[in-house]
Parts: sequence; structure tokens; C-alpha cells
Amino acid sequence: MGRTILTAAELLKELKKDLKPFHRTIHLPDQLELDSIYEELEYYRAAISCTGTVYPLEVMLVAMVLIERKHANEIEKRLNDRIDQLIESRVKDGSSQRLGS
Amino acid sequence: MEAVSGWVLDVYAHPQSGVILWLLCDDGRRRSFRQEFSVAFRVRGPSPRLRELWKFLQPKGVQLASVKGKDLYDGEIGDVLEARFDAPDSLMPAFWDAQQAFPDLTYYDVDVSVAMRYWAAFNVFPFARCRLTVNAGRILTVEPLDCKWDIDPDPPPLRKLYLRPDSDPSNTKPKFLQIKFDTFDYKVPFEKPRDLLHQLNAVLNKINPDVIITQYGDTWLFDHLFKLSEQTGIPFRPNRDAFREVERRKEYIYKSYGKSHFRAKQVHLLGLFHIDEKNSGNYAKNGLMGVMELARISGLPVQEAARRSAGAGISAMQVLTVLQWNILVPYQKQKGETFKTWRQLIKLDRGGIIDAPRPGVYRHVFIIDFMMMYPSLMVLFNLSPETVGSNDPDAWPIGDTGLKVNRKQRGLVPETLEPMVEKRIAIKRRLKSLPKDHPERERYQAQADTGKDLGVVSNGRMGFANAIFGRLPAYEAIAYLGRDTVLIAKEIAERHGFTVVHMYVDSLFLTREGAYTEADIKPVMDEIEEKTKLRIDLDDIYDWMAFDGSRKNPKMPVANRFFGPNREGEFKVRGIALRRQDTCAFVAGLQRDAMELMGLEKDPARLAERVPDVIKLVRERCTELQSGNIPLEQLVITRKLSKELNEYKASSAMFRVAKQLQPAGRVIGTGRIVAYLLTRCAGGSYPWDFADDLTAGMIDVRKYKELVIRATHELLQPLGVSEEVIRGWLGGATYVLPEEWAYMGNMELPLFTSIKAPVLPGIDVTGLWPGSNIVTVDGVITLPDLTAPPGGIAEGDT
Repeated sequence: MGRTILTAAELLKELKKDLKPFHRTIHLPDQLELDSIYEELEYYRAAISCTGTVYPLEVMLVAMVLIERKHANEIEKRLNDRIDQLIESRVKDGSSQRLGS
Repeated sequence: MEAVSGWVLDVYAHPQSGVILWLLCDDGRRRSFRQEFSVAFRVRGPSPRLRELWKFLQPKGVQLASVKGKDLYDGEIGDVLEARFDAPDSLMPAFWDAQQAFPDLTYYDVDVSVAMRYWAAFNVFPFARCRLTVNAGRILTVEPLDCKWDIDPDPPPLRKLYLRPDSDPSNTKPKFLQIKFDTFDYKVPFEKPRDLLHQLNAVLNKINPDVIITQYGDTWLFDHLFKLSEQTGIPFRPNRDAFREVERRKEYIYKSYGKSHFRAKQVHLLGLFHIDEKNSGNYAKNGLMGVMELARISGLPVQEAARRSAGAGISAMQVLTVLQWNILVPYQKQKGETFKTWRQLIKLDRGGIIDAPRPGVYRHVFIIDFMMMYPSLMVLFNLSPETVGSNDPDAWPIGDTGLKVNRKQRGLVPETLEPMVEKRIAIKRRLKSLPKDHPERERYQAQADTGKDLGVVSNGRMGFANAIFGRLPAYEAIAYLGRDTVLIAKEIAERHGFTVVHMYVDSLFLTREGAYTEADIKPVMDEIEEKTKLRIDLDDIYDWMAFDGSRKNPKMPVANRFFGPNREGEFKVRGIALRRQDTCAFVAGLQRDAMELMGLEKDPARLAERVPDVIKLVRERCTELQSGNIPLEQLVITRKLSKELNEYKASSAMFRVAKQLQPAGRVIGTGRIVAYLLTRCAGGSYPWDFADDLTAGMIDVRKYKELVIRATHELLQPLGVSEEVIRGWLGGATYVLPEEWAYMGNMELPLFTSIKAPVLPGIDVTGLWPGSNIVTVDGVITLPDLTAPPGGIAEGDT
């Protein structure tokens, strides 16, 4: 019991092993991006395990989409915050110019 | 005829017939009584074969009968053959003969100890209060006076005798035997065997102890004393039962949760108890109170309760329930794993939920955990080997597992566990209500810990291959419901605005901006209890909790490596060096002291300010190490061999030590403990057993420093400090904050995000300590004071 099937951590190792030729072939900047995705995937081990699917790669891909979505949202939020700051500073400056105009 | 009341100490078979019962009487006397008590095994099979077995057993003087039998899984199974014995010791030899001649038959009630049968028959247990009606030394009636589930049992006034040689006999030949009883404490030399035996016999006669607590009693002391007795002709009879020899048990190796364990040979006494401190895991963990509690609850004889695991206790409890239900106890496990598809296997073959926490330091962490989650689930959902996997159309489906549970008929496991769960919850509540210095706390704690151990293994036991009443579908159902329960709790906590920092089997680590009191978490706990119908407990509130990442890659999560202080400054620690058994006392002590230095800081945003103190401490200890001032005992590393020596492929320090021990006649094998020092000679490691030849100068300081660096790294890694930086600091580098600390900016508590102002052209002074020196190509530059001290971030900055 508990040693019959691969754990989520082992599944992630298997994924990295399977994608090793892919990893080797892509260029260094892409490799670094992929490595950071792998690192983030580790935080989804419990969710991958709990899903208990025979196709774990599908779940991992969903997790990767989630990672990217979170990243995009974070950038969007920072961008919006920056825009708000800029608007506020221009309002303080008494400028009536619209941003970007 | 007389009535005698007192505490039951021991029950064992009389060689002729029935049993002997030892009672610690209310008048202080220790008395033994005989009682007629027969035992029986039962056999199931085709009638012609049972008739043949009848003929086979009849000439052996066995009482034979045809009786109705009931099986846990199959219910009424019709007629079975019963072979009954007046002398309990006659049962096993007759069974071996029968099984050899009739291996095709199914045997029941074979390897159930006479004590367990007795407890089931008379509703008593070890240390039970009872009243006996006795005539001419023979028990006529037994009346139980208390219940094993009482949380305040009347404690028996046990007399304890301690016998301890002054050294480990496998290392150095002992010179003295320490004899201790109450206020008496003296030493007798082994080199005067006649004096030793006379004094021991005098002590045994005078004190008449109920418990003899020894060191190396199982493996050396009693054997040595018997040898001295033979040599001198002076009798040595530690048993109360003067007509019986001591019982010896052979050494063995067993596996538990994937690890190999070695259990040394044992010496059991009759009429009193022998506990070897060095060979009694449960005694070492929970003390005599814990041993007594396990014996009371499980019915395991005291000397077994001291030495065996909680898993044996759970099995014994199940056997007791089955005996009381008049259900047959199978000789061997009968129900294996049911067929399942690959998809089902993938879905079901899982344990508890274990999250991957993000490394870093978190402020105000609440840990809440379900009290006895797995046993409670078994009770709540009637999960038992015979109820899960039911084909009854009315059975309750367990989620999407495809399993169903029969809830019409009470299961064996819920019946066994329910009073235990209630008792532990009551004890925990009592403990919470008592002040920390209350004299009864120790007893309650031992009782609570014993209950916890039993609860922890109760689930695993269900999936254990050799458990008589284990069955995998039941285990899978429990694990599924456990995961589901924790996820319900997580969802509720998140709805209340909490961030779930970590989930670990039955506990949740939660944090929320501005939440730091019990009142803040109470609504969450109330809702979880209401929704799950399980009791949840607030373990504690921690000022901060630091989670380590992987040693090689600090961004990689590690499930169970964290530490943090509660509001009283007491730490909860898991997975770091000081918790690991193979850490030497020097490194463990250093890590503990360094951690406590960090614990002086309540505000995690200011933790970095403690780093210089930690490094100062580590430097001082390393200097002591370098100068040979650390006692060798503090440097001993102990490890357990997980396999036979010839199965090891790599030549580790442990392996090399084991190889050195073999020629010296030491028995080395699976489960054995190897103790050694890291040295600059003998291939880098030296057996502790031969340490007399060692001097401090032979110690490999460099290797111990490496262990120190790793232990320090475990503490500072959550702050973003790498091993290389620690090496630099210990090597004399100035207090320059490491570049990696900037990475904390992405974490829950961005400790150093506000100290990023480059004040010198071309040099990033991110997090540099004011007044510290840095080396550049242009020479040494002293940094000016920064406006914000490192780590000293205002609340709003985080």
C-alpha cells in the first residue's frame, strides 16, 4: 500500500526525464523559463496527487496554465497600479493631459 | 471463602491447568491465586475432514465438541470443531500437530494469548481494580470494579526497583551495578559476585518489587546474573513465581512503515514486570504511565506493552472486541486485496494530503488539526474491514471511489475505537484546563500520547499486509475521506480570508493579515466542526513559522521541514537536524540554541537582526570544537542499518564502521544501531564502541563543521541565506547580507524589499549592514549608515 504507484513528486521527475531531449534542444533562455515552470509545478504536487488521474500530464498542463495565468495577473495588477500612480501624480501636478496623449 | 480486592498485575497459564492471577491487594500484599480456565481453538472445513481431525485429536486427551461458529466477514458459518484444553500451554503443540496433518482446514482462535482470553472472559485488564471470591487459593468469581476508559483510574501503588550497570556492556565491561529503590541508591561491584547476588536477593526479598526497570536487562544483565549464580552456587530467582523459570523471547527484525527495526532478545518475569529501558520503545517514549495505559487499553501484558509498538496494541484491542462478540479470530489473515482496475488503483492507492509549502517565513500562523481524525472517521462512517466494500444495495457510497460502506451493522473497528477516541478527547480537554505545573499533567500527557499513538496507527494497520483484521478497501476509504475532510476545512478557512500556508494529513497551517488571537480562528473552527462533524483543535498560534526549501534548490518545497515559536517562545519543530535521530548531540544542541536566539524576535520582519547573534554563537561553538573542548559523547552519530551489510553498495561512514565492528565480534545486521565518530583516521569514521583509543585530536573537525553549516543553513535558509554565505561568515567574512535575500521580495514576508537603495556608485548594497566593510576592486569601503536598519522594516513596508 502506498508504494504501488508513483507519487506526484515522482511523476514530476518522470515528466522532466521524458522532456529532457526537448529541454536540451531548446535555447538557454527557454531552458531557464522551463526550469522556473518546473519549480512552480512542485507546489502543485498535492493537487496532482489528489486528482488521481491516469493521465497526470494533463493535470500538470492545467497547473502550468494556472502558473502562467497567475503570472499574467500579477503583471497586469502591477501595471494597473503603476498607471494609477501615474494618473495620481499627474492629477497632483495639475496636469489635465491624458496618459499617453 | 474470602473476598479479596485489588489491582490485577498479571495472568499466565499454570503448567497443569487453568491460570495464575497475581493481585496487588488493597492491604498491600501481593498474592497469587489459581483459577480453572480452559482455552480452545476452532476449525472450519468440510464435515468429513473435520471428522478425521476429531479422530486425530481424540487420543491426545483433548475435549472435542461441535459448536456454532461466527466469522467476522461471513457471519454464521455453521458447525465448527472446537478443541478445548484445561492446560492452556497444551493448545499450541496440539495445534501444530493438527495443522501439519490437516493443512487444508481453516483454523481460528489459535494464537490468542491466555491473558487476552482471560480479559475477554471476565471483563478485566492489566491494572484493573477487581474483587475476587477465593476459596483455598482458588478463584471462584471475578468482579470488575473499574473501567479501562476511566480517565482517572485508581493508580496501583507499584514498587519500582532500578538496576543499571555503570556502562554499556557492548562497549565497556561494567564495573558496578547501581541498585536504586525509593531513596536507596548504591552501587555493588560486579567483581564480587557473591556479595552482588546476596545483596540483590536481599533487596528482592525485602522490597518485593512489582516492576524491575533495568538497563541492558534483556540483552546482558539477567544473563550475566544467572551466569554468576551458576558459578557461585548462590540462587538468583527474580520471579515472584518461585516455581517457574524466567521467560525468554528471541531477537527479531520487523518492518514498520518501510523501515527495518531490530528488537533484541527479551527477558520476561512472572508475577512482576521487567522493563529494559534500552529495549523498550514504548517505555522510552511514554514512560511507565504510558506503558500502563497501553496495557490497560489494549490488554497487552505489561512487559509486551513496554516493548511492542502501538500497532500491536491496536491489533490486541480488535482481538478483544472480537472475543467479546463471540466471533472467531482467524489464525492468519484471510481477506486479501480485492480486484481493481488500473484507473481504480490510481484513484484509491493514496495516503493523506501533504501539501508543498512555499519556503519562507510567515507571520502569525495558526495550526489547527483534527483530533484523532482517522479513528474519528472510522467511527463516524462505520469504516471497518467487514463493512467497506459491501454489495448491499442500501450501502452508502463513499464519494467517487466506487466503494460502499454498510452502515446498518456496527463494524469491528468503530466499536473498538470509539471509547478510545472519546477518552483521548476528554484527556486533552482536561490537560488544557490544567496549569502547566499541575502534578497530574505528566500522567494525563502519557495517557494522551498513548491514545495518539494508537490513533495514528489505527489507519495504517488497516492497510498493513499482516494485520488479521486489516483490509485494503477499508484503508482506501479512510484515506479518501481524510483527504476530503481536510479539503473541506481548507475551503472553509479560505472563505474566512485565511491563506493556507500548509496542509499536512490532518492539520492546516493558516495565516491572515491582522489575525493573531483564538477569537480570530474560532469561527473557522466552528464551521469546520459543523460541516465535517469531526472535532478540530487549535494546536497553537505561532508568532512566525519558517519553512525550509530543498537544500540544493531553496525554491523547491519540502513538505515537513519547518520551525517557529508560539507566543510563549516554545518552538514547534519538524524535519530539521535537531529532530533527526542521526544528528549528534553537539550539532542538535547548537541548532536548538541558535533557533532559540531567533525565537527572541517576535516580529518576523526583524528576524534578520538576529542573524549576527546566530553566527556569533556558531563561531564560538566551532572554536570550541576546533580546540577539542567538546566531549566525545556529544559528537557520537548513531544510525540504523536498513539492510544487511552485504547488501550495501556505497561505502558510507556507517558502512565502514559496521565493517570495523564485525571482526570484534559485534553482531551487525538489519535494524541494528551503529554509533560512530567522524575521524581523520580509520577511513574517516571510528566506532564509538572502541572510543577508549580515541583522542580529541583525531576528530575530523572539518566534517563536524560541515554538519554545523548544514544545521545553521536549515535555520537561515528561509531568510534567503545560502550555505556558501554561511561558510563565508564562518570563515571571517563581514556581515554582508547575501544577494539571495532579495529573492525574499517575492515571498509572503518580503523582509528586505525596502533596503534596496544603491548608495555607492556601481555597487548594489542591497541589504548591507550599516558600518560593515565590503571589498571592491578599489579596496575596502566602509558603508555609511542606512536610514533603515537591515531587516528593520516598518509594519507598513511589508
